[in-house]
Amino acid sequence: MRVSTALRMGVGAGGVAMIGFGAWTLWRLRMHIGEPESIGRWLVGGVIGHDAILAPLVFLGCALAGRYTGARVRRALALFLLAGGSLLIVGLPDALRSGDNPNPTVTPLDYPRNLTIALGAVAVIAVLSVVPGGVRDRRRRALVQAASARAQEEVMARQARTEAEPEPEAVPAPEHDSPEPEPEAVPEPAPEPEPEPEPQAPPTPPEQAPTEQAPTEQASTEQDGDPADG
Amino acid sequence: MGAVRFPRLRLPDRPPKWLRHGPLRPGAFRSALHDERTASLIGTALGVAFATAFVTGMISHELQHPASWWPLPTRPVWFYRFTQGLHVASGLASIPLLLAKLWTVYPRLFAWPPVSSLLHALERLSILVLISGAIFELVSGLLNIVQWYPWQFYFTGAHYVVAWVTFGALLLHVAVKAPAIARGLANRVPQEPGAEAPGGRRGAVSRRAMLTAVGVAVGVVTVTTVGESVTSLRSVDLLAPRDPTFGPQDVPINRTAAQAQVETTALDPGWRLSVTGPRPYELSLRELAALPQHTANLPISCVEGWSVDAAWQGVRMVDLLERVGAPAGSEVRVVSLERSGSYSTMLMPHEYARDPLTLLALRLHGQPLSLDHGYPARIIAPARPGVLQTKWVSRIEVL
Repeated sequence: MRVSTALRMGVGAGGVAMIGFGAWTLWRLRMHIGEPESIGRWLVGGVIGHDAILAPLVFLGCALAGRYTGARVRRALALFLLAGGSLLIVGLPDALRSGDNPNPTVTPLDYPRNLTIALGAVAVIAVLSVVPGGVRDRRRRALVQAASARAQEEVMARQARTEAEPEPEAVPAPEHDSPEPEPEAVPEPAPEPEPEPEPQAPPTPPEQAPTEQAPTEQASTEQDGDPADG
Repeated sequence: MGAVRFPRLRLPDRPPKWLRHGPLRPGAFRSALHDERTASLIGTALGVAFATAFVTGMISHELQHPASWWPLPTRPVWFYRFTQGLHVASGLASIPLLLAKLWTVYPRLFAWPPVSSLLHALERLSILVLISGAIFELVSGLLNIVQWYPWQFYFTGAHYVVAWVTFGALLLHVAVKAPAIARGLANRVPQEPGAEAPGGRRGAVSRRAMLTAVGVAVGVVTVTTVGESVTSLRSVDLLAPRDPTFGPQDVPINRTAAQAQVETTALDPGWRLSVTGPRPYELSLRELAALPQHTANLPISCVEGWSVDAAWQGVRMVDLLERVGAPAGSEVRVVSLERSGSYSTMLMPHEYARDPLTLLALRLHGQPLSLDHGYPARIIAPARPGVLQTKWVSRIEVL
């Protein structure tokens, strides 16, 4: 504990020293660095640009997505927003400067076209990432299967009890589960009229809970207001 | 830091009622991904990227402004190609990482009370310095690689001093947050009362999904830009400011002859190279071409991150220096026809001047140098930044 505190103090002091060195160098080189006030304007402008413009827009988008989309769409949107937005930031200066540069070897490519291709590729990745059969869905399903194995027994017993009733697909998901890991089945049980099938058997152990695709969860449109889009 | 006692400001535990709107509304940020674990995972990746950019940036600075005590590497010849390609790539990869990190910690901007003690105020100030510096470095770097300067400061100097301040603020931040980072990385984040586990709410984006999105974003940004220096990935170079084979003689250029205003002087048939030292002499282009010619396969690696291998032919610098009777270990100044600009004269430490691969090149890929590549003669040395590979050479002075 003492060592780690000393380490923290040392790293922090080193950081303060580096800040001081940077500030001192700025002062020392102020004549050779152009207009130092211009550096200040860009330092402040960057923070305002992010904290007061970009971030509120993104959180507004998050709120809208939370209101009007379901889990999968939201997941795809989060990926598209972060990856596509990053590509846009990287590609926009190219696109704005291309053809406008006195040096023809700078920005020589067709950036609007390339940006479209890259954003299209990201859109495809985003869709594929939430399409059933995706690798992550498979992994999730493996987790889910283990958890639902216990529940399955009970469900089948219940099914046997209610055999007389015309409700053969009351719990189709666990049935499809066992023979072939067909991931589509897991998120699907959402719209089914499954009236609290396992009252005492927890569907997932708490360790496995932190995925939104837990088996009993429904892909319903929740009024979240704040999904994790980047 | 617990031993330090600062007077605490007395502020109500909750914002006054008239302020409880928008981001200050209780429960305004409901995602479970604004937590320590997400912040520390993304923050660690961002910290690694920033450390990489800082170290490689300082290497670039050192190569351009060598301290006398610092060893200058000449091998591998692609040393600078590697470090500067990594510098730009880690900076570009930091863009999605910084966006994701700032998204995760954005609610803390509205933490209440805004300031609880002097120490707390200082910590928040250091965060402001860190964030403004980080955004400044990424934006200025991003615009510099497309040679776009919509500001009134000198890019390299500003990028350099702000790098020190930003990385210092980053170290300070890591020191302050070390316990939280450790908790987050070890996944021992205590459950805050009222907070929900990720995925606890139906339909919420899970942490894994968010980290996947961050990974994909870093991946696509890297893949679509790194081809400007990793030439085997040139086919997916969609968004880099350079195509490493686009340019006269299939090599890009950093500054054209027109920009350097050397079009008439470089094409002057009376051009002569003057070499000053103990036995000074002058040579015409024809006489230079009559000296023993050597070929060096050396990359040209620009500070802006692009690089490409090329075959250069010309006279070895060491031969020119021996002819002038330069003492061993002497430094050399190379003067260009360029009238202005920071790189119109260049100092060449003896490590490069005496390197058998360092040429006063007359030809590129078997053809005479094009005007934009430095006709009639230019410097090419191993493992040096492109801006120091002086073009349109008119004089070599032994110091």
